[in-house]
Order: sequence, then C-alpha cells, then structure tokens
Amino acid sequence: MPELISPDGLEADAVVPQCLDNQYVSDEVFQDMASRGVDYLDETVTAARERDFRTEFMRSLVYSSQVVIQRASLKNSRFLYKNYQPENRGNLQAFARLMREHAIVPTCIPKRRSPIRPRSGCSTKVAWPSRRC
Amino acid sequence: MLDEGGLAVQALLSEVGDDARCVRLAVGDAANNEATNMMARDFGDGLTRLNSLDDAQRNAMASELFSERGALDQEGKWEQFETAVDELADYAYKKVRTQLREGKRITRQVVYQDWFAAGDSDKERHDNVAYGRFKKPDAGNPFVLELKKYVDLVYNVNLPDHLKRYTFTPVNMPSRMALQDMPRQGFSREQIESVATNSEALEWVRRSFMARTQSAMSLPLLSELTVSDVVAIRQLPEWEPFKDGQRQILADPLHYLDRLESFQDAFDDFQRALSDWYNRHYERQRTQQRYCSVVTLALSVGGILVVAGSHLGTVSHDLAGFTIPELVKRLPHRVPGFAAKLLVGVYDIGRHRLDADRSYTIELMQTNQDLVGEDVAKLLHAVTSSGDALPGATGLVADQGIQ
Repeated sequence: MPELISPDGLEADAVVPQCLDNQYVSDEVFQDMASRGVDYLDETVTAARERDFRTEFMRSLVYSSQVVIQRASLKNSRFLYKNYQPENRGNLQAFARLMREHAIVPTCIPKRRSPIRPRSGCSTKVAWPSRRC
Repeated sequence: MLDEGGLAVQALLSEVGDDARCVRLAVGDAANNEATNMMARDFGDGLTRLNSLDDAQRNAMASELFSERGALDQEGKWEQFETAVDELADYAYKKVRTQLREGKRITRQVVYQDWFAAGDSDKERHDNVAYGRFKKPDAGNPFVLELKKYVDLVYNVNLPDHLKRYTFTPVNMPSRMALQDMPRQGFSREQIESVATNSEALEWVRRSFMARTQSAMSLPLLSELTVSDVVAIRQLPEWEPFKDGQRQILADPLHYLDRLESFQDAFDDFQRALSDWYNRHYERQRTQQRYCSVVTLALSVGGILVVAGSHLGTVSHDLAGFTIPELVKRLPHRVPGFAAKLLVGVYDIGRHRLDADRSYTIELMQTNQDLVGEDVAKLLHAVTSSGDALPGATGLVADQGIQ
C-alpha cells in the first residue's frame, strides 16, 4: 500500500499545476470556441488544449522537484492518462517510476464532503485503486 | 467494465506497487476531515471576498485577468466590469448561504452552471459544464472569460494553499496576485526594495545576460517531451544542482543575492545539458541555436511584471515603448502591495524577447504595504536600466505563486 503523508512530507518547492484542471483553457482557445460556437469536443480545440496541457505539465516535471496531482485526474483527465496507457510500455514505466521516486504525488482528498456530517477517512496506509478516501 | 481512464490507472498502479506516496491535508482522520471542510469553505470565501476589494485592489486584479491592457479604457467599461464583479460577489454570498442551509458547500460546478454554462434549463447547463459549452460573451455580458478565470484561480489555489505549496499557473493565466489576498509570510516594502534595487546585483545580471547571449543553445519544445524523456532529463547530473539552487533561494529569499550567481550558473549548466541531451537523443544536431538563459528578479506591481535589470523599451508586448512615467500613468494612484518574483528565464535571441513557453517566475516575497504614484516611479527607476539590457515588462510567463 502506498504511504500516506501530510503536507509536511512534501518537498518545500512542490507545485500543483493548474494545467491539470479539466476546465483549463487558454484565452486564445476560449476565444476560438466562442467565435466558432464549439466546445471541448471539437478536434481543433482538443488538440490546442492538449498542446497547452503538455507544455505546462512537462514544464512542471522538468523544473520542479515534485508535482502534486489530484488523484481523480489520474482517471478522469484524458490528457494525463494518455501518458501511462498500457499500450505505451515505456511511458507507463516512466510515469510509474516518477511516482515511486515521489516526483509525482497524488492527493488523497475527498472530492466533496458535507460540512455537517463528516465521515471517517483513510488510515495511514491507503489501498488503491479500489478504496476511495 | 473499466473505461479508458480506468484501464490506464489500473496499469499504472500495478506498475507502481507500494512505493508511492499519497498526500492529504492531515494524516489523522478528524484533522483531515476538518481541513477538507475548510477547503470547501475557502472556495466560497474566495468568491465572496470580491465584495471587500477596494478600487485599487480591483484594478490590480483586473490587470491580471485581462490579456489586453487597454480592455477597460473605453468609457463605461470599468463601471460595467465593476458591476459584473459585484453581481458575482452578491451571487456567491447568497449561494453560500442557500447551499449551507441544504447541508452543502458552494462548488465550482454550481458556479459554472449558474454563470458560465450555456443552456435553457438547469439540466442542460449542468451537462454543458463538462463539455465546455459556455455562454458567448456579448455586449450585455462581456466578461465571461475574465470572471471564469477568476473563479478558476480561486478554485486552483485552494489545494496548494492548504498544502502550503506553490500553485503553478500556466502562461497567460492570472497569477495568484489577482486574488489580492493576504500573503502567509508577509515582507516589508523596505525588505523587498533593498533586495530588488541592489545596483551591484542588477549590473551583474545585465553583464551576465549580455555574455550569455554570445553562446546560444537549442532547446526542445516542452510539449514534445514524453514522460520517458522527463525521467532521462531528471537524471542528468546537472538537474540536481539546479533544483538545489532553486530550493535554497526559495528557502531564504532575503538572501537571494548571495546565491544568484551560483543559481544562474546551475540553471545555465542544466539548460545546456538539456540541449545536448535532446540533440543527441533525437539526433537534431542542426536545430537552430537561438536561446540563452537568464535569472533575475521581477517585480509584480499593479498587475504588471517588470524585469529587474531591464529597460522598458524593446519588448514585443502591448507595453512596448512605454517610458516609466507612461507606465506609472497606467497604474492606479495607489498600488495595494507588490511582489518580488524569481524570474527563471529563457531568452529568444532571434526574437529579442523572453520565450513564454520556457520561462517561469516563482513568487519570493510579497508585501501588502501600499505604493503611491511617485513611489512606483522611484522603484521602477531603481530596478530598470536605460541602456540595452534584458527584455522588459512582461505578463507572458508561467508563474509559481504561494500564499
């Protein structure tokens, strides 16, 4: 099971890249979407958003010690999971290595929690991928 | 049956095994729950606090949100923007209350649905959020993009703030200075000015930059790198000293001048190693060599980023050609605080400008102490140069910000 850490266990210069946000869209792409009346499914928009994502994600991996990513993005961000799909063994192993070396650290934070009825969370070891916390 | 993302995660986690780490806000369950609730609360607070920003703060915020600096110059535009900001703040204030009564917190999905998504029904707007089907900005609702960027910034700084780490803002997105919130570790105006205006250091930065332009290098496009490339790059012997140098400056920003030269060397060594590795690995010996590295301070004043050691004359930007008095005129009379940032830059020698895809800034120090017009002019005179030197004011690079 992966080790669960608090923020103090992160590198001092760890970053959380905004490009992993699924609503991240540059001004140029937004204006193109508005003028053509298209959405994220449009091929040109997808290609531009992926290029922007890759520039920012690779920048954070090359120029920062440690990159924190929302755990949900691992499964939900197509731009992200294209980097570790099983058909590209080299990239899959490289991504796994970055996680083993703690260059990439996923979060284990509930997506939404009621302010009134807090649930019990995870123990200090967390099993994945099946257990949600 | 797993979908594409599920299959990829399954393959990844079986490859990772048990050696990975996973971070949460606190290790103990109760503390983690409390911190998670605070994070949800802080998103709503980030929207409602728009109400308490004064004119100067809103002006600084607008400078970060609008990509065209003169966007609000036209008569009536500023008032229209103020009204739109007020309406978002009023909406957030009421929505926070109604959501709380239902035992819920306000979420970005809800804000998007109510403010930005196109559609004639709640359901349609709800579904359109994920597809990015937004309202088209028009004369009656012209600030869809700018308000979306504000909401996205509030959303995106929340996690790094609670982790007490940096948010990495992409090129052309507003830095966290747009929030005009209180820095966790505040510095005095005098502390920042004494570091930023050190004339010996500025002279060294200028001389060093001129020397480095004589030995250009080629660099890969970051978007073309693969994750396997990243692993190889992080193993280069020059990568660790670069990272160490950056960490040391972040740990003790007031003494950054003592480490500037060694960090500049480490960064330059790393960039050259990256260039060599890329050309060797991809056999691109004939790639055009047109980049050089530069490390200096940049001041973020009223939403404008001014590179220390630069003059404000030759940049390809909408502020190009501005003199300091002209620049000061563009700023409000009172600037509510400013920040000093480490500029880790790559200069495109052929285009005479910082390369936006490769340069970034990291926030070092921020003060909430105000500057008034003549203070700004004095500060800009002290950090800029009248001769040929570094590229000047810019708003075009990625930024690492911290509360």
